Amino acid sequence: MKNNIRVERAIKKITQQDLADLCGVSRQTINAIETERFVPSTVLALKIARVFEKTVNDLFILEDE
Amino acid sequence: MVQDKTLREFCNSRYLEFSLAVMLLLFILLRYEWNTSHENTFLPLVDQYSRYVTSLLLVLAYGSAFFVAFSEEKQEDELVREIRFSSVTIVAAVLFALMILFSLLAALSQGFRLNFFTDQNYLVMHWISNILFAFFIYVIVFRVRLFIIKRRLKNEE
Repeated sequence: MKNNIRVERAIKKITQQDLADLCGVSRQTINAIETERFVPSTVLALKIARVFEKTVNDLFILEDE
Repeated sequence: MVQDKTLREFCNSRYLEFSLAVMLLLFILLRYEWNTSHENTFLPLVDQYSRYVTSLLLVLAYGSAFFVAFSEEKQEDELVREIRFSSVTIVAAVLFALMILFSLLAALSQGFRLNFFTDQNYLVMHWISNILFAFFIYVIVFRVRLFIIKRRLKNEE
């Protein structure tokens, strides 16, 4: 599963640490999600989407789509 | 509430983890010594009470192993939980595979009277089937994987 978190973060000019603090997880987790090593839970995906004021579908894309 | 928080902080501290790990190692050494020596020269004073001491040490060791294995990280989020669960799976799979391998070797050795399966092999089998050993391997696997992820993060900005 691909994601646009790095791009959205750059647009919003926030660091991985800022995003991690806003979502209540560690920086390692955000980094692992960005580099596609870890697929977040629905709750975390919704939290990330809320930070960027986007839908989960805008941030996360299934590879076969 | 304050006491609860202090207790939780103490339980999560590195000091507790380290001391319990040392206790665990000491127990393993002690048990190994008792298992391997023909005449118990180790701690002769405790010998007559060894059954009780062993029971007490077993409780301590399993308790400490549980604490060491499942004490929370500073920030226990879903990535850490994911690593934890996958580490348990890896350890279970590896230990089961080893048990199957050793059982097959033992069966071959006894069935065909080849006798290549020595007492030491049975001792290894005994250790593999011990849950304490599983805890120990799990802690190592979990720590190593966590260390790799943190190290990788250090290199990426």
